[in-house]
Amino acid sequence: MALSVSQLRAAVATQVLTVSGFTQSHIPPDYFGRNENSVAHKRFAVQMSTSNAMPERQRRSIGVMMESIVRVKFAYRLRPKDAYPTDYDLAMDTEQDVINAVIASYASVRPEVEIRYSRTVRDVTDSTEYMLFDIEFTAYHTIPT
Amino acid sequence: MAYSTVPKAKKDGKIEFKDGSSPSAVVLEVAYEEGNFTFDKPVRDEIVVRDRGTITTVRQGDEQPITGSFNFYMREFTDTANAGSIQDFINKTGNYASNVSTGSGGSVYVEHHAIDMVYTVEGTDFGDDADHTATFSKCVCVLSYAEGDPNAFTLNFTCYGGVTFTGPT
Repeated sequence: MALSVSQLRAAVATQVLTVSGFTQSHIPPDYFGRNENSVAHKRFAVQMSTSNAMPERQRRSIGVMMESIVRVKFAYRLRPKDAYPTDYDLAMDTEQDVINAVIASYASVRPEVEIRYSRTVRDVTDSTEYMLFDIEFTAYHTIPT
Repeated sequence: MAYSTVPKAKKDGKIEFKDGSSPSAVVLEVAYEEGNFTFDKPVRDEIVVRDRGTITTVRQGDEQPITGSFNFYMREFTDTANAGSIQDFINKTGNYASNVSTGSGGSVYVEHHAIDMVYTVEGTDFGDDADHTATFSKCVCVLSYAEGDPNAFTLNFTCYGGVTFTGPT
């Protein structure tokens, strides 16, 4: 029962890719959304924000059990004439799809993870062309020895 | 070699359960635990005798069993196909249904299903002449369970067969 941080990131990305129209960004997640060039409709990036130790022994034979903060960032394009409320609502419906995909079963992807939704930060770019989502999850996993 | 100069930490600890099978005991090494193993080893009750309020004699009273506890994370409740369930081990169910109680032989008869518990603290990795062990005999174990992130069990045990400590000789 072990899952590295990189395997966890890939597993979450695999789940997000099941949402219709989503493609993975080539911009590192830390820079996603900082400028218009980094975003596109339903582009996403998975950021492995932080990992914290769980209260356990950390024995070498078992590995380190950790609580990792996973952030899924994606952009949703708001059409000029329908930016609000039509596309604004559609964007949040898409956010719901992403959350459901990420907390779905990982049995066929990577079964060694337990993941929970924590919160969402929503923002609209100054140009009003895109709505940016930053969805935070908490994952419990053990890195391989 | 001189007395160890290295204080030990929870990373160095290991808990193993053993049943009473002979010649080879069934062994389960506890995994995914918090590392908060505790035990209390009481002395006999103290019967304090006073002469008009002044303590004159202290006699030994009843013997008391050793008690202890530790927490571990929930992975499964029970499993018949695979070894690993602590709940199965202490209750003689699932994959451990054929286990033998350690309480049925010896001077203290324990009618409940009992196990032996070996707590080992690494020593040789730090230059000690040996690892350090505490073997608790004839332990009756009780579980409590609480949901959380992650879900966790607390195992409380009462040891009726005493404890044996080993270390460098």
